[in-house]
Amino acid sequence: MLHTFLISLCGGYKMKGFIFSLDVLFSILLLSVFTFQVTNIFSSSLSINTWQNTRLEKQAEDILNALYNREDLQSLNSTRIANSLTQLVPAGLGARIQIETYTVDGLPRFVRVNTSTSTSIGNASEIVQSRRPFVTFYTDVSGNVRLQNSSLAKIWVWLK
Amino acid sequence: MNLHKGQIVTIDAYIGVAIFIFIFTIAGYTYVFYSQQITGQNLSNKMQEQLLSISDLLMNFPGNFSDWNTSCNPTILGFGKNGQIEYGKLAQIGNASCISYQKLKRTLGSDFEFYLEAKNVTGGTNTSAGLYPLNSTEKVTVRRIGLINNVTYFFDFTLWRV
Repeated sequence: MLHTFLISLCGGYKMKGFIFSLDVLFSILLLSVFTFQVTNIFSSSLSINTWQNTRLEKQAEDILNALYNREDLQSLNSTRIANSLTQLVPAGLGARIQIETYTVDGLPRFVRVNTSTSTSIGNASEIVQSRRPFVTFYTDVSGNVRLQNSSLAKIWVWLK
Repeated sequence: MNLHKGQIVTIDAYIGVAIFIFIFTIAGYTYVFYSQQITGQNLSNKMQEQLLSISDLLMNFPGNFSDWNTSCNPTILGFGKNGQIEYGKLAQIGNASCISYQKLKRTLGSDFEFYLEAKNVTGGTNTSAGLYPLNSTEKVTVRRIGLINNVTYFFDFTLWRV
């Protein structure tokens, strides 16, 4: 119907010098639409949202800093760390801490892993990790301060 | 058919011009749309970078000179070391008679409006400084966690523009 109408509009089949055909018209229109859609799809990669991830990373670093400043990390006490973690983690976020401890008194050897969790990971939509190495000291019988353990605290923070 | 002899503009030319206008319009629209999107993204990135620098500086550096809260003449602002905040400095940044808002912005080196809220863990606001974001078209906020006298506080830093 449309084809017949367009043919008659253009003067019928006997129209001399008419070089523009319908299939060319349709192909150009389709190509335009296709190009526009492809551009749209690829342009979505322009706005990758990394801000949420960066904010979480900063909060993870801050939490480790606060735990270190309050000497919770150095206590290596899971209950104490878990209690502090619950207080430090803002609403809407969850966190888990793992501390790997190595003794440096004599030959370096692995001692233990302490784990503290404020909430379970569940269906986290965004998760980041941060680390902080730290050392603990002790005073020997002569009153000298000596290096006791070397530890690495790892924290995972996620959006609940 | 004799009527068509010698004509300059034919039907196919009309169609060609129509298609050209159609494609040109799509190309123009695409250009304007994406240039706006890229400009907006650049602006947003710039605000985020500035906000991270400002929050890092204030949370981890005591300021210069370190007694700026008494002299009220800081060259570099800062609240404390490694997230341990001195309450005296936090209180002074919100005190316009010590540091005016313009001086605060200049010292922070921000191109945007600045707002800070310090809250306790239950969400109650303890201190605020800067201009509260009203009618903002663009706003970025980051929450930092710090200690005041070993008590946890949340610091919400915001940069915004009208």
